[in-house]
Amino acid sequence: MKRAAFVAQRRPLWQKFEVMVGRAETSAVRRFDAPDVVPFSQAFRSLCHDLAVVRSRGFGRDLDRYLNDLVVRGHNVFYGAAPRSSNAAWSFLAGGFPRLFREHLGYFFVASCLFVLPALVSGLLVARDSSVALRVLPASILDQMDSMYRERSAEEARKGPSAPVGMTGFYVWNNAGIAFRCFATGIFFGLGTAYYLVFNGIFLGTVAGYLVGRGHSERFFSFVVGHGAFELTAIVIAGAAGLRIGHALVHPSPYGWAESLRRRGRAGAELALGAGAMLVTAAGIEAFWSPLPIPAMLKFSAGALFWVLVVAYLALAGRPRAPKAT
Amino acid sequence: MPGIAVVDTAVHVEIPENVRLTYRLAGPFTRLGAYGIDLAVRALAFMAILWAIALASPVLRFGGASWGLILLVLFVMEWGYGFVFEAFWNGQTPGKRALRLRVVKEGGYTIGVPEALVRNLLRAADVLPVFYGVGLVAMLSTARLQRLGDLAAGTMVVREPRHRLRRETPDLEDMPRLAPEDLGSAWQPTERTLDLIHTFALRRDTLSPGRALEIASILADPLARRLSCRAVPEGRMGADRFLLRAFRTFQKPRRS
Repeated sequence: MKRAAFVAQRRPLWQKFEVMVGRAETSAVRRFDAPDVVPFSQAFRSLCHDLAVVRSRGFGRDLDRYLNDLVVRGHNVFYGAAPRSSNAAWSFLAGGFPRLFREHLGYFFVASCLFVLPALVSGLLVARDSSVALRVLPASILDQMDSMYRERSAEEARKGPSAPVGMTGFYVWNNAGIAFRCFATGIFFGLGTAYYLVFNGIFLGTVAGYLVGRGHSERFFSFVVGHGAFELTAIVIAGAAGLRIGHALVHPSPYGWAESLRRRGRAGAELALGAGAMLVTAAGIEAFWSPLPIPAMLKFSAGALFWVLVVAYLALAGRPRAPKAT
Repeated sequence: MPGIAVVDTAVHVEIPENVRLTYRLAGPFTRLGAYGIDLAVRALAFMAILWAIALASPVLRFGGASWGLILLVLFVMEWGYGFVFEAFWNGQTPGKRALRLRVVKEGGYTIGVPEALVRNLLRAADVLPVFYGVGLVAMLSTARLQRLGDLAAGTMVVREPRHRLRRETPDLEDMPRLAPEDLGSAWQPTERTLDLIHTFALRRDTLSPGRALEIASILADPLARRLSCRAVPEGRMGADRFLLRAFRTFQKPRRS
């Protein structure tokens, strides 16, 4: 068959297919109605065949390219992503994320050490001698911290937290941003993650030690204990996620490093996403609950409850249900 | 050319229908263009939201909450924009759609939520140290032009050009072959040369006759010399006819 005859014979089908693909690409719901599926898949297979014919008979580069690009688009539509279930987000938070966390406990412990040890060391050093704090943080920040935790006047205390909605936005932007960067920079063999963890550990320890040294310990710890349950845990989880992908590159065997990264990247990103969700929760608590002018004992009790909640969530949520005892 | 890696932006993927599809990768500069468009879209959206907050603030008494809302919007735009569009708009952001680019899996399949998540979270590593330096180095050193986020997600960014099929040129099929006795050598033109002639034949009717002859003679003269053809095109007048006849002569034999 000559090229001209071939084109003349097959072209109507190609044009029909072009229309079908165009419709499937642009429709908001990328789904075919049942009667459309059969003609589409038949036309798709015919086009694949035509493409093979064009190549084997050397019908020209233009036809090859035209059909190739049409089949590429059809392929993308035909083998679309698995349908998304509407409650995927919920099932991730209710079970998938805690399960993923438990699979990565080792990374979590390493990340905890990278965060907690620098915090403890710097906190103890600064608490004993607050002039050490000046080596870590500029005086302006320390003064600001000092004034944030000074004794409140009765009138200020009655007003309660200022602009909690605004503070929520700030905490989400700042903390979730740090957590995501902490995860992402893990791709540099875990070094970026380690830097973020140690740096934030030192920062937190210095501030805590400084405020303890200035005699603000009760106000500081009663402020931090509530949201800290979510916030500190989440930062360390993001760190664990970063270490996961870093480890995939440091020790990729039995895969090549690209394949290793691909296999671990998804788990890491999902851990980081879960950490982000925890940080949104933490931001709400930090803005609305933590600054409330209520007795410290109440905040400590609630804080203990939050910690129990977080531990129980990460340890227990998403476990398969035990068979009922008969 | 076995054993020789041709520098090319084509990636070949064999699909279950037993054909090998060719994907054209999008290079750093095309993607920079899409990034620029996305940046403009985000800037416009951000200004619109700022404006809305400024308008609503006195009514709803946002007060100090306004800047918190602004930061929240910034956060969503920085981390959510690429993720949401690529996950729910089949691998395209507005910028990518405008430039006909698409993120696909390495096998050519549609990306889903996990791939969009991985490649957009790892964007934070690619932008380092300044202006996607890491991403650029990664793209230039991988065969599929992938930045780190693409490597971890197993995705690539491809171009999706739309080709219109040209009108067939019937005179190509009707051209007489060159007579064997006119050919002084057994040399045969390469596939590439024939492709070139074919492309020329398809475009011939869009050129003025004079221009068509001028272009044809660039190839026709050396080709005639190489073939030691006795029916050498006289001057420039027969050049394009000669090319088409040569194409017919050496065209791959076909079953019919």
